Amino acid sequence: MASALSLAKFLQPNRGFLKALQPLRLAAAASTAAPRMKTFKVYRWDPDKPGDKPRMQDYQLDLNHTGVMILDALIKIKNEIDPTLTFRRSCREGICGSCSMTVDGVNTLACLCKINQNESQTTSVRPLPHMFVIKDLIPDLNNFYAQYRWIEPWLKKKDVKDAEMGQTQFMQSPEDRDKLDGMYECILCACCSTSCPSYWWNGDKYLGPAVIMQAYRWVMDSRDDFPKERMDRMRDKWMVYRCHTIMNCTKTCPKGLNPGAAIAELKKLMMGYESKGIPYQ
Amino acid sequence: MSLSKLRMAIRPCLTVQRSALIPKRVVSSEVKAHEEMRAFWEKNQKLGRPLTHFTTYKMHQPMLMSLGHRITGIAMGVAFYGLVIGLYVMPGDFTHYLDLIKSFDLPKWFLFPAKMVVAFPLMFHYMNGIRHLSWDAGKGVRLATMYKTGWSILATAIVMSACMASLAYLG
Repeated sequence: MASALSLAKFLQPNRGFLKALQPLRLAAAASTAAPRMKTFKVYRWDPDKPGDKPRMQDYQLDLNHTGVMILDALIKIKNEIDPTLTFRRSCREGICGSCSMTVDGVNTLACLCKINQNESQTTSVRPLPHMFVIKDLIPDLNNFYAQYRWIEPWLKKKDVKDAEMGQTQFMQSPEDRDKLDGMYECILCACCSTSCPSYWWNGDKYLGPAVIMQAYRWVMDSRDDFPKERMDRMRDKWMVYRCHTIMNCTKTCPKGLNPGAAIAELKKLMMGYESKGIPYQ
Repeated sequence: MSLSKLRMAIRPCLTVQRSALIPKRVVSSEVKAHEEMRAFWEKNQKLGRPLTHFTTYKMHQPMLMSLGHRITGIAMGVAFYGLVIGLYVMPGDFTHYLDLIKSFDLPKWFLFPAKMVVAFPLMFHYMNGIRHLSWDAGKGVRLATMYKTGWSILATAIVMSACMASLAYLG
C-alpha cells in the first residue's frame, strides 16, 4: 500500500515523474537541433555603482534550452549567466502583476509575453517607460500606489458603525455584480498607466488609466454608498480629464481589459450624461 | 529627457487638497496618499535615479492616429490664424493674392499635391474628430473596432482629399 502510494505520488503530474523526465526532454531537444542562439538586450543600471549610467547589456540564450516566455529567459539569465540582473517576479502566470516591463517597446507582463522565436531578431527588455528606476528592470511604483490609495479602493458604507462591520453580508444582485466585470480583474501591474502619454507628462496630477478604472469600479459598486463623493473628488481638469483617448492603455493591457472604455464611461457619468442607476443626479 | 526632468522638478506635487468635500472619516487616507506622493518625488530626485525613456515605446495605429489628429489640428490652427492675420496686416485683399498665385501659372502636376497638403489634414481631422466624439459617448471603444474605424478613416480621408484636390484638373 505504501509503495503504491509513493508510486502514485511519483507519477502525479508536476511531481517527481515530470522532474525526472525534464533532463531527458531537454537532452532530446538539444540533441536533435543545432543551438538557436538569440540575443536579449536588457536594460541595466546599478544604484550602488557611483556614476553608473543606464545601458543595454546583451545576453545570448539558446532557445532550445529556454522556456517560452520572456520571464523564463530572464530567470535563465539570472540563474546561469548573470546573478546581478534584478527584476520583480512572483506568480509566473499573470495574476500578481509583478513582472510588468517593456518588451520590444510594448508594456506587458514578462510571464505572459512569448519570446519571439526568430533568433535573428534581438529582443529588448526595459523597465516601464518614463519611470524612475530603482535598479535594472525595477521602476519605482510608489506614486502609482499612492494614487491608488487616494481613490480609497474599499467599500464605504454610510449607516454602518465600525462595531457592526462584518456582522451582516452586503447583498448584491447578479445584474449589479455583472457591472464590475472587466474591472475587478485588474491586477495593478501599471502597464497601461505607464503606456499613457498623458501619464508620462502629468503623472503627478493625472491619475492614469489603471487607477481611474478602479475609481470607476468603486463608483459602480452597488454596495458602495459614496459614488457621488468619489466622483466629486475627481472633478478637476487633471485627475480624469487629462485622458485624451489615445487608447494606449487598451492596446497594451496584458489582461485584455479595456481601461479606455472605463474612463469614457466614468467621464459620461461625471458629466451627467448618464446616471447608470446611481442615485446621483 | 532633461526637459521631462525639469518639468517634474518645477511642478508642485498634485493639486490642492479639497478636504472640505470629503467626509471626516476618510481624510487620513487622503493625507497619507499625498504624503506618499510627495515622498516619491523627493526621494527620486534626491537619489538621482534615471528616468526611463518613453521614446523606445513602439508606435501603433491608434497612437499614430491620435498623434496625427493633434498635428493636423495644430497645423490647421496655425495656418488658419496665420492666413487671417496675414491678410489683415498685409496690403491688398484676398482676391489680389489669389490673382497673384494664378498669374504664376503653376503646372497642374504641382497643384494636385499642393492641394492634397491642404485637403488631407482637413478631411483626416474632421473624420477622426467624429471618432473622438463617439469615444466620448462611449461608442466604438473596443480594440478591434478601434483598428477597423482607424483604417477606414485613413482610407476615406485619402480618397476624399484626393477628390477635392483633383478639382484642379476640371476646367
